[in-house]
Amino acid sequence: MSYDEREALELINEYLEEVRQYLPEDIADDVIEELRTHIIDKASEMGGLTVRNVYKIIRELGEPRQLASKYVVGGGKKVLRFELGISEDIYPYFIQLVFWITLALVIGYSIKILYSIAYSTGSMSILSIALIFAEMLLAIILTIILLYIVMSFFSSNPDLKEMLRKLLEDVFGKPCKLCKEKTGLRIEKTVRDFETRRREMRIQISTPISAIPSLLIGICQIILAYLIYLYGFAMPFNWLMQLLLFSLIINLTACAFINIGDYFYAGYSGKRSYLASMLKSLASFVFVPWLILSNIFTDDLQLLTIDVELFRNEDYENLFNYIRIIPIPPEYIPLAKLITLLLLIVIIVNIIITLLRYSRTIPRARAEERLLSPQYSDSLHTFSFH
Amino acid sequence: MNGILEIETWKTEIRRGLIEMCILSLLSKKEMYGYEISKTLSSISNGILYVEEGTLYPLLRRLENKRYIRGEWQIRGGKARKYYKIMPQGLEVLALMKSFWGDLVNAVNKIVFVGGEESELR
Repeated sequence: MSYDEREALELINEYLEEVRQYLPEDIADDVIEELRTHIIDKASEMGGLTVRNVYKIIRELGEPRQLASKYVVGGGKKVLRFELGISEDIYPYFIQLVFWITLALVIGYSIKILYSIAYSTGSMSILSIALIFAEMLLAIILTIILLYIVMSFFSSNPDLKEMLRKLLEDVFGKPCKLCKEKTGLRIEKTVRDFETRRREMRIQISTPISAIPSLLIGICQIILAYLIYLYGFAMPFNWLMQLLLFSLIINLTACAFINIGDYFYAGYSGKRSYLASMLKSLASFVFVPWLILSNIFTDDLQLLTIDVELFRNEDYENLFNYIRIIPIPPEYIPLAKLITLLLLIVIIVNIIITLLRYSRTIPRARAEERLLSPQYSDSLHTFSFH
Repeated sequence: MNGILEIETWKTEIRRGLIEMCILSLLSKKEMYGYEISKTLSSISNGILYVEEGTLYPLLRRLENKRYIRGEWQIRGGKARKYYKIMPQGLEVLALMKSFWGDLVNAVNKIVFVGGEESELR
C-alpha cells in the first residue's frame, strides 16, 4: 500500500468517525460501512485511492452532521441531543439574527444614553454613560452566546432543525445567494484554500505575512505590561485594584509570549498554530479570581477620575496630581456586581467553547497538514491543470 | 435570475418525488448496491435523474425502514457490499406508484400540451 493510499484511508476514517458522532447508535455501524465501501468504490473508479479523489467524494457527500441528519429525519429514536456548532443550512439565518439583534440593542441603548445625558444632574454623567455602554456590550455578547447555544441545540436535532429552518425561511426568506456561497460551499472553499497554500508552500515564504501582526501585538503587549507595572503600582490603589493590575500584567505577558511564539512558529513551519489562539483565550482565566473577589467585595472597587478643578487651574506641573482615586459610588455597586458576574460567565463560556472547538479542530488540522505536505505536490500539479 | 433559481428548486422537488419510484423499479429488476443504483440512475436518464449520494443512502435507509426493500451484506468479486433487493411490500407500492404515474403523465400532458402545441408531446 502506497503512502498516498494509507493517507487516503485515514482521511476516510476521520470523516466517517465525524459522521458517526451524529448517528443513532443502532444504525451507525451499518451506515458507516456502507459509506466506506461507497467512497472506496468511487475513488477507485476515479483513478485510484488518493487523498485528492477521496476529498472530492467527501465534499459531494457533504458536511458530516448534515449527512447524518438525513438518516434521522422522520424516523428512528427520538433522543434530544446537544452539540455546539450551527448547521450550515441555518447558519445564514444566525448571521441575520445577530445583525438585527445587535442593531436593535444599539438603537435601544443609544436612546438610553441620550436620555441619561438629557436628564443628568451634572456629576458622574461620563461614568454613567460608560456604564450604560458596558451594559450594552455585555447584552450584545450574552444575546449572541445565548442565540448560538439555542441554534446549536436546534442544529443537533434534525427534526427540530427542519422546523426552525422552515420558520426562519418564512420570516427572512431564502438565504441570499452570497450567504449560500459563503456557507454551502464552505467545503469547496477549504479545498481551494489548500491548493493556494500548497502553492505558497512550494515558493517557501520564510514567514507568512499574516503572522507579522502577531509579533507587533506581542511587542505592544510587553510594553503595556511594563507601563502598568511602572505606573500602576505607584498609585495608592487598595488590595483589590492591585490584584486587578497583577492579573492584567500576567495576562498581557502571557499573551505577548504566545503571540511572539506564534510568529516564530509560523516562520519555522510556514503555517499558523492552532494552539496559539486557544492558549490566548485560556489566558483570560487569570481574571477569574479577581472577578470573583470583586463580586464579593464590590465596595472595595476604586475608580480613576480626573480632578476637573485642578485641571481648570492649569497646574500642569505633575500629571499625577490630576488623578484622583475614589471608591465606587454606592449607587453603582449593584451594577458593578452584575457586570463582574456577567464578565465571569462570558470568560468561562468562552473558555469552554474554545476547548470544545480545539478538540474538533485537531483532526481537521491534521487532514489539512496532509494535503499541505510536499508528498502531494505532484498530484496538485496534475489537478490544477485539468 | 430569480426565475432560474426557482426552476432549479422546482426540478429538485419533482425529482425528489420520483426518485423513490425509480429506485424501487430498478431493484425490482435486479439486486444492486448503493453506488450501482446511483450510477445506473444517472446513465439511463443521461444525468436527468442524478441523485446526490448524500441523499441516496439515507433514502435507501428510509425505504428499508418502511420494509419496501432489504439490504444485505454480500461478498461478490472479492468485495463486501450492501446489496438491496425489493420486498413484496415494495412491489405492491411500486405497482400503485406506476399506475398513478401513468395517469398523472396523461393528465398533465392533456393540460400542459393542449391545442396547437401537441407536436411537443414526446
